Amino acid sequence: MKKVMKKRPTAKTKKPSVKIRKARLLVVDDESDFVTLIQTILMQEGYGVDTATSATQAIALQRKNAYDLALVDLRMPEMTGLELLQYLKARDKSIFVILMTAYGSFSVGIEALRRGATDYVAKPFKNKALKEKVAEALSRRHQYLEEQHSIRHSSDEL
Amino acid sequence: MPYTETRFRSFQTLIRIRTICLALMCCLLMISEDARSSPAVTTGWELLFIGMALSLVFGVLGKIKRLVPWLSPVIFIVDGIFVSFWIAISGGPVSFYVPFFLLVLVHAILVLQPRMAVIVVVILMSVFLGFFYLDYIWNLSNTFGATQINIISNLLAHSSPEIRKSVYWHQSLRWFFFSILMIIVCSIAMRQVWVREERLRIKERSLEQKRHLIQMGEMTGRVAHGVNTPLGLISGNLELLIAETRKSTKTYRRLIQINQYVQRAIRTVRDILDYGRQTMSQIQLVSFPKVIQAVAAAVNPKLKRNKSRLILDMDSKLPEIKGYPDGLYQALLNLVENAIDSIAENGIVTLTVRFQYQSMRLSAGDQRGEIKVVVQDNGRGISADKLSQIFEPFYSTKDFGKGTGLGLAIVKRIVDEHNGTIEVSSTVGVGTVFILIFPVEGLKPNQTADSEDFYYNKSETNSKDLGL
Repeated sequence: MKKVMKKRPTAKTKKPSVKIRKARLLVVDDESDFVTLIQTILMQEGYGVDTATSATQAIALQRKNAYDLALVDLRMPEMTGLELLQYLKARDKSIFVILMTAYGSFSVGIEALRRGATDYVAKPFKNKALKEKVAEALSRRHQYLEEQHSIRHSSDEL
Repeated sequence: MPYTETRFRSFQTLIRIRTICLALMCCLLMISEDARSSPAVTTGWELLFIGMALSLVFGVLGKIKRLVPWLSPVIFIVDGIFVSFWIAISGGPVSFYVPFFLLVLVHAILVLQPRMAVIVVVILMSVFLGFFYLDYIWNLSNTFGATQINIISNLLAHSSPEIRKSVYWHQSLRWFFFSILMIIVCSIAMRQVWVREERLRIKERSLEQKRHLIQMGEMTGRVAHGVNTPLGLISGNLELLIAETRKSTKTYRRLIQINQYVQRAIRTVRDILDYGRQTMSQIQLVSFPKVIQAVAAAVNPKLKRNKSRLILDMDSKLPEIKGYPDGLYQALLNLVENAIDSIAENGIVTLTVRFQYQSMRLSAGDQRGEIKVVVQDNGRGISADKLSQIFEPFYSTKDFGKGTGLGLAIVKRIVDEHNGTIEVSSTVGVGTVFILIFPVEGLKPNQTADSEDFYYNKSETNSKDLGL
């Protein structure tokens, strides 16, 4: 199998559409300073960001509001990030989740993706990298919703 | 070590039981004495004394723990010869074999395993019965019947020295062969013991290593959490601060400098964690195409920054390798990242993965093979004097602060863990080639390079920083 790496389609990541800009995000980490930091970084990008410092708080917030994307820490006291991820996904199928961890490895990443996470960031990350990941996840969610919509549309036609 | 301790205790018991067995022989000799009461059999007593003396010697030598593993097979074999000749020379009774078998059995249970004991006894019994049968069909003499021996002994006692000599000679020869057989049997049994001991030692060592690894893993996990969280906070806030500060001010320059050092700290911690992490995951079947796809996805941003290309050349059919997915990913990632660092703009890194059968095949059906991974770049190259050092930890050819010198040490370690080999050749100005060879079981027909279930194929943009 001979293969030359293709160029990544970056147009979407660099210029997110207006729809994506208005996205609502949920950040969950047991470290409150960290949550605030991420909130600040992402608010600069124009997203609406809510924060939670525990899994229960996150679940309560999800009951009240609908979120497009959640950033969840892998290691938390009450519930691991993977559990919370599944919980959030169960309540809202369209939510996209990015997992964050201080102790990343290839298999943790695989496990996260297997359980339905969209992406995976290892702490410490650069602010730019985080922004890119969020933008990318949101554009993928956008694609996903469009696909879902067209599927529904075509099934209606039938 | 608990194992040696057990062995030591069982050896002491062995010596004691050996003495009891000899005492039993003594009783048998006394009982048969009346039946024989002839000068021909008195040698039995002398031999018994020798046996007791041997027991004493073994007991003294057994105090030296280092000798114990060697002493027990020695006793085993010496006793076999001893009892054989004893019966041969004293002219009976064959019931002397009962204590000997008891000795063998006890020895086998204590030193070997119960299962081995049964095997040893069965072999000895069959040899013994074989002699019976041969005696019967060849009608040589009734060596194996106690009564007959007694009769022979009595006859011998009253016969002329010449006849006695020839009969002794005849019997001794027979028992000599029997002893040789016994030695062969004992040697086979002991070989089994040594093999098992070696296996146990290896198992113990690997257990020890595993325990060490778990501790190491826990420690690295804690360090990771304890260091990476604050580092993340510092670098995140710092970047915000830099963005808020006006350029060309003193503060800005200072913040940039702080940021450089923070980034270096982050890199160092990451590399040390990778080096210390080793293999936290379980050994599992790893598919090379998946790992390579993940590596390709991870280095993609770096490639673009460098305006370089990565050419993947993989066999369409690759067997899965037993190993650690994290480790293999890490090793290949480090190699490819190094290659990209060494090339100038528009450079080319080639990653080739091939399956080949082992060069030394035992037979046509021998399916053992190896996976050969070649990472080639057309970069600066490494000079010959540095080439021998590159796998040493904390050795770096990169500019100060750029590399921690752990990257290739990690690669070497991971390759070693997979029983693989790594070779490097380099020419300054032309490029560097790393050749990794991993042994694999072989190619199964259903193992192909398809990786449709794999997440990285869905989008190459995904997971660019995955795992690091």
